[in-house]
Amino acid sequence: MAAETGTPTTLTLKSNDDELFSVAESAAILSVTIRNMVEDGCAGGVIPLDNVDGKTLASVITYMNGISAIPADEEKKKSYRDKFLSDKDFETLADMVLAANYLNMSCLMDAVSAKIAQVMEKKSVGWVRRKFGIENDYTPEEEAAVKEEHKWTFEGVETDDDN
Amino acid sequence: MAAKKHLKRGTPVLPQEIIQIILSNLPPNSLLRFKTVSKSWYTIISDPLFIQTHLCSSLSESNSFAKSQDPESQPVKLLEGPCGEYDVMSFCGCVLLLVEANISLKKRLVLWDPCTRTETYVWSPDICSGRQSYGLCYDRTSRNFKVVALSLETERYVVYSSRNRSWTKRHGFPGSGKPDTSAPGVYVNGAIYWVWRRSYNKIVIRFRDSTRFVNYDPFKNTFEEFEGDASCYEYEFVPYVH
Repeated sequence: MAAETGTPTTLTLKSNDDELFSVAESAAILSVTIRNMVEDGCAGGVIPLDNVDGKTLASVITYMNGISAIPADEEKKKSYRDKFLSDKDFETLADMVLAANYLNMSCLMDAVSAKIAQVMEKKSVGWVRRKFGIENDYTPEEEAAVKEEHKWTFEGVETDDDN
Repeated sequence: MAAKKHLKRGTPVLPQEIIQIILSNLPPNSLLRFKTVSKSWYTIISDPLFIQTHLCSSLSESNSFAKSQDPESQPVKLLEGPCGEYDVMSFCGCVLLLVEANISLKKRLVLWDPCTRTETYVWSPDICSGRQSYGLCYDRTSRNFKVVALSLETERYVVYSSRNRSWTKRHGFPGSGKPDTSAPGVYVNGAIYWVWRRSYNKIVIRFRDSTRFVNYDPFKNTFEEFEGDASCYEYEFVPYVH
């Protein structure tokens, strides 16, 4: 629903599954990718974001609106980011980190990377392999040798029954 | 490129550069464990540039030992340190400088990193007869740890570089007169500070990176190079972070 008189203050973003979202330009330009499109004059119609699905884009827009409503107070912004990410599961965080990278939003990128690291910190090697979809390419002997090198780091690791 | 690759359970595949960014947020203990994940993770985590960046970012955070002394943080676990009897002289980031606790002239020093459990042994320098004072700092320019050893009796000092694995003699012992204490230097914000008593006065001296010693005035936040006599200040305090 872009206002067509003068400079548009609302942008329409389209996800890769064809959902449309309206967002204030002032919030959307937190994304350097979108800001560049606006500056290049491509923002008149619909901005297609081919690497972000609707569910993730909705979440990113919630973040854009939330964080841009906070005045320049780094402490408050940080606590907003912490709260925003607190209830997200690993899959959602992984989608968000890809979206933040594609949209070139450094503040979201830093926050989500730190959050993923925080989730991983006490997890087992098996958990990480499953969540990141990584194939174990060590032979059993090699794996045992690498593990032996840093045996103490396997103490206090959480059990794998959670998400 | 529009189609996104997904795993069975709906997690997207993260490219290597994003994985690196995520890993750079992890503490050393988790990083060492995750070397076991796969060969490519082993390579990322062992990469010298990755380690360097990780070290610099952890040094710029508030001091890790100060954090562990916070009553609300987890209790510090007892670790098995290097063999022998040592006094902890100084620390910088996660690395401790231990000095063998005996009275012989030639002592062993250890640079010990409890996070990675690696240790480097160094023999004390030859300058030393009598009392010595040590300090440890990380030199960002040359990217290595430096041990500063002051011989209080002979008024000489030498600097050990962990990269060159050798001691270098330096000129210009800070100030005049003899300090009455061999308390070790404290590493704060990229520099080592000593608070010394000289007869009835206290002076603060600072050693930063590979540069010379300077006289430091904490009230004015100014530095003066030592040229002959050092001016003396009367302080009753320890170095602080600003």
